[in-house]
Amino acid sequence: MRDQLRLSSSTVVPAAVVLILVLLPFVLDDGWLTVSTLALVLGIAAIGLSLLYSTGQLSLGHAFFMAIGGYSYGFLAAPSGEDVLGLGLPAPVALVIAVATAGFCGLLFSPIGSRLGGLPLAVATLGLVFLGHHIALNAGPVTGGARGRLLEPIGLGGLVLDDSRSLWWLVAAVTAVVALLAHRLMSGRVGLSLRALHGGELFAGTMGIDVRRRKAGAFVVSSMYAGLSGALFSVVSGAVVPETFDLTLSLNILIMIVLGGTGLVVVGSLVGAVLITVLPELLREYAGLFPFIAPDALSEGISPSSAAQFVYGVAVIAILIAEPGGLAVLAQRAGRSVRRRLRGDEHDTVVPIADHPLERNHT
Amino acid sequence: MKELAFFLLSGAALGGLYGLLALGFVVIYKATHVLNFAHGSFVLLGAYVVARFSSWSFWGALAIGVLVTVVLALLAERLLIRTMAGRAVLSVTIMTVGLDIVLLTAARTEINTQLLPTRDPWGDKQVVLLGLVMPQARLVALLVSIVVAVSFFIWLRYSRWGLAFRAATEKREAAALMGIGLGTLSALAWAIAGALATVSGVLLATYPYPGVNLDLGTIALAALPAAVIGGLESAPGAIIGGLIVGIGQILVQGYQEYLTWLGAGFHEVFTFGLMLLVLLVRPQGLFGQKEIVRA
Amino acid sequence: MRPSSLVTRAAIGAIGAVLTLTACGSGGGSADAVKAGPGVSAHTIRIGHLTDLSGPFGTVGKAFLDGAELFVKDRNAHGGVCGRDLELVVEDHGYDVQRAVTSYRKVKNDVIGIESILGGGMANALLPELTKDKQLASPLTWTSSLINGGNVFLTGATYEVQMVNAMSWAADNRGVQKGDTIGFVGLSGEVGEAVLAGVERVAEDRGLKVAKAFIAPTDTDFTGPISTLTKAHAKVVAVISTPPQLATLMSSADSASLDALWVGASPSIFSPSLLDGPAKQVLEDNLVIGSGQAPWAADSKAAQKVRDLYKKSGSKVAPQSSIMTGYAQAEIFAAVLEKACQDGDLTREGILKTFQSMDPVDTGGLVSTLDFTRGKGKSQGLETAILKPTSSVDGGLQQVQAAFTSDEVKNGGY
Repeated sequence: MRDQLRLSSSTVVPAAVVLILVLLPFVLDDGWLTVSTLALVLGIAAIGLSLLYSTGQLSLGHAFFMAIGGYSYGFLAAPSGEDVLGLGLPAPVALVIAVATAGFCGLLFSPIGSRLGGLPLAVATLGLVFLGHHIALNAGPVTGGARGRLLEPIGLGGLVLDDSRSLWWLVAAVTAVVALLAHRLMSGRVGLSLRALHGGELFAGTMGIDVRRRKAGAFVVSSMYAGLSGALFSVVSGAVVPETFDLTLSLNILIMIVLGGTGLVVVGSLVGAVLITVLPELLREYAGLFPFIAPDALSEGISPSSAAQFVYGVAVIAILIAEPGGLAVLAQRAGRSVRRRLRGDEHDTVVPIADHPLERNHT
Repeated sequence: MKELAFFLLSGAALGGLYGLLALGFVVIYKATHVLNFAHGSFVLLGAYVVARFSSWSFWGALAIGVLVTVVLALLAERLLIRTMAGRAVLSVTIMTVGLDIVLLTAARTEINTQLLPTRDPWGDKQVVLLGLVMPQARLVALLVSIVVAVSFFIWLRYSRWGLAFRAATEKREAAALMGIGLGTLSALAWAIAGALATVSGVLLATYPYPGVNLDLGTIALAALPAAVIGGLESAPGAIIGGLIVGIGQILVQGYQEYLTWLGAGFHEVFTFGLMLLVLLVRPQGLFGQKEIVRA
Repeated sequence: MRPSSLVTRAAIGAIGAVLTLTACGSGGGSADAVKAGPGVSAHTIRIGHLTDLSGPFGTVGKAFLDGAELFVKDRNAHGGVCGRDLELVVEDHGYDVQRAVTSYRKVKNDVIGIESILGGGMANALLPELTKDKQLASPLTWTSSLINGGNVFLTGATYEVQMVNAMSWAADNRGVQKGDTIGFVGLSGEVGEAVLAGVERVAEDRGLKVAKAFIAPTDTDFTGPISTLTKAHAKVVAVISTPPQLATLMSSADSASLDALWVGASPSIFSPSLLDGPAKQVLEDNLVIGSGQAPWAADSKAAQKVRDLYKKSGSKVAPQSSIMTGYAQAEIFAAVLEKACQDGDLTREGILKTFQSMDPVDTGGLVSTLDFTRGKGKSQGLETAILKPTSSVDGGLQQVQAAFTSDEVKNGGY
């Protein structure tokens, strides 16, 4: 009986997800669909950051690699214009090269990642964001300078994807693929060696795991995810401007993975991304229900966006204190207790998932 | 030549300010290995309180400001940091990001576009030093940072608490054996950082800067490279890192007409570029100690 | 005054009123005959307002919105547009490009046009989509790249034109001679580049040298730029920075005994609260601002009307020129819609057609006269007024030179 249940849960859930992804455009209007599309785009970046974080490296420069991806795609895919250069390559080619470029930049930076501990690395990557912004403003012919670049609607095999629905399906498909890839990565040999890092880097080293290569590899992969996210972001917005890739973006993605749960790389990141993207919109729609939020610009009270900011800050603190595994773990625990109650089974023991390589007190 | 001297002096004054800000980061990092991303909002808060009360009495207001930030820091330490004892330092650091967001959002709602003069006793008076004209307030900033740095250094070297503080970095157990709890050490570090925040904030807002406003909340981050260059665990390193960054920034900004090939506004990126360079060559910073990895 | 002319005037007024009522009566005959696009119903016309109310520009965003709402309320009380009530659909993007894109997509099918967009990056990112969707749009940033000759209007001259006018005036004011140096201190970015272009144009025309220095948003010390300017003996300095930076720059300049006239590129670099601080004297003595928008204390009927409406509304927003601009922007937008209504076509295409051939719009001095037919990349306004900080007036700025167009601009191909 139990085996049968287990089998169905592992096919029902993915099937449900696929169904939702396919049918969503018919349920939501243009605006909410764009919100959801952007949530997935940022989710890809979040998965990348979570992968990196699971090897003990914290990067605040994720926005930089996203910028690399976005601007590379802009340069590769758009034709030359008034004061910008472009190669006008077909979209899929441009996308692949953009991702590779971001990965290459990650490779260049990875030695720093291996040499620095968690926090100094965080500060170092902070610098990347500012460096990226500076380059974006000054490399006019490639990046369009302060004005940015405009992009033509993406074309795939004769079809032009310039409406919200087709963009959603494109992004959803790409997200599903890279999410599965990440899942494979984490549950395969790589994931095993990452879990071995669990016992400490020195320990993992004695087990024959090349710690340095693993960490560098993680950096490259995470940069590629960021690059893909950046490129897709440009596709969805139709333009790439320097204001997009700032420190706030890096911090937002960090908050996404923390809230969603860093223990579950894929699910946590996506949950976090959806939450962070959707929350301010929700607060704005239903601002009327909260007495302290100002329904319009000029009434008393704080604006919905400020309220949302407040809620994030508090949520980050609360989740980190209460449940370091994040919302995904909370949901998992809730789901498990529900299932347990349904089955009436008393003998299940809850295995702690928040057994994260970083959730230990490093001195 | 005179111009260069002026740049160096101004750079030193700015560097002193950066050094004080950097010290705020270093103190907490040294005691707890946590990077406090909320330092910027403490700086803003402290300066704001001082500016609010300064019309009554500047020194009184300063005392109140320091008191407020110290209390706030202790509260944050006790309620938030302490509950995460035993947890990974990266998690705690991320939590300070959340704290920073909360505090800055509150500050934005309260302060808005207000610009509050600090009404300090140095005002807009100029002082002549070695034939160079400089705002008195800037000179005071430089002197204060030197005094604070030296005092801190002496305290660390010669007082019992200072000794425990240093021990906390090298051997956490030894510090406990000295009868000083790690929790107390952490609280002490946060309190010191809180006091530093107000002092830094007030000095930042003095002439020629017009006063306390929202922008102060994000300026502290510019001092992070200084802390890293000096070595995140070194108090003298923070000050020296600050001086390097301050002087470097003024020089690059001052001679930018010769550096146009680096792009406009390069001086802002310069500090981070310098930081990356130092990290490549000497990851522990100029005065930091190489970390011994224990399994 | 002769009684007969009074009667005549009253009669004309009455006839005019009757004609207006029949032409655009509330829910009456010809109103329904107008072709209508999205956002236009029998009773309302919805227009979008994309702004920052909670981010770095939140305060000025609120001021622009306040102005727009003052106009809308007043207009609706006097018959609305095309016999319909105007309705602002406000979206707060918090100065985030991603949210701006999302906000636009959320409202785009609900509105007939976008009355206001705050943020250069946002406007740049949205421009292609706005054009594809045939939305009439008005960004609140004055860069020439946004003027595509089809569906965009800016509420004033471009930054470059403003600076040419203002620097020209300042150079005359200070007796700048050939061979002298003028300066530029500004934030790097699109606006800074446009301002510098204006400065360099004046320098080229008058045979002057330019001493320039770029600054960054987090800068608090300007020893370098001030030294550059002092060394070059700059007589007039163009500046574009944040308000606290402006005060710091001018105070530092004062310390260094730099005797120059500072010319601000836009009222946005100024904040009345600067006059409460240590820089008050230096600002009042050495700063002027080139502006295409009226200051709060402007001495015109139109400005007085806005001030009266503001007082009646009990608004809590601090008095500032952005309220005037917000009002004017909404007024201009409504003027286009009204004309389109008269042309019988309130669809998006119809509005654009009307817009592209419209006569110049006059807001009674709130913003400079705008001509929408000048074509792509050409500034729609060519006038600049000179303002001076004065602590004795609300809003802190007072006009010292009425709107004018310099010879350099007239002959400059702008």
